[in-house]
Amino acid sequence: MSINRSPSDATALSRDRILAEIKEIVAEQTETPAEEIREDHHLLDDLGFDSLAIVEMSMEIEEHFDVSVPDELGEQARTVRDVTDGVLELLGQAGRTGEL
Amino acid sequence: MAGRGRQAIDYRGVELDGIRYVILREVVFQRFCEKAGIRPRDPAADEDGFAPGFDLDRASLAEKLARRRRATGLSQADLARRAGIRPETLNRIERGRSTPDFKTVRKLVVAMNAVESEQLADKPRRQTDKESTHVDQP
Repeated sequence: MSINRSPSDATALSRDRILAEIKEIVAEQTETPAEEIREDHHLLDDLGFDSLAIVEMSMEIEEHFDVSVPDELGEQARTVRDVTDGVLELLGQAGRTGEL
Repeated sequence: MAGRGRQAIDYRGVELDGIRYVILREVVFQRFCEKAGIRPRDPAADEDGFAPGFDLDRASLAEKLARRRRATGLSQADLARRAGIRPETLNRIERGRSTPDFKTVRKLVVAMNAVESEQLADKPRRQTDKESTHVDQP
């Protein structure tokens, strides 16, 4: 997997913060209020995503978090949680969530 | 397809390990699936990146992609070339015959975004030129 380590590592976004920002991105795309979006929501079944919407979300995430979303993540992410964990990993913070 | 009358259908039956199977023309099978509201899914991804398990509404995706492409004014061949995929692949996607994987959809979106950006960059410049000729008018 080719993952671009983001220079924003230094900003050390917390998982909660990343989740909140992803919810905002999803909210904008699906016109669902962010507060109604849950981590366990399924992108396709619960939020009405299709593959085009997933691609658009990935590109939005790339721009927002300054990361490069690998195809594997786009293909395998099923829930908001998957997306959040994927972004965390991309930001190189996966190991830090316990401290936050 | 003709009328409402009962239609005949040709099929070939085969037996493998004691189980009877029916071999149908693919187009007929797809028509059946369409009528039954079933989405056929090929378990093996092919070289064009048509992967299994990528759940989506194929018809709606096909329509959205085609609509967006037409809005950019690109032909299928132009878009396919810009996206680096084969024209036949794009044609199959737009006809809802194949389910593209994430990578392929992304290539198409990136290519269409690039064209849209080019067009946007072009437009305001021309408009500004026009506007600027009117600026001095009282």
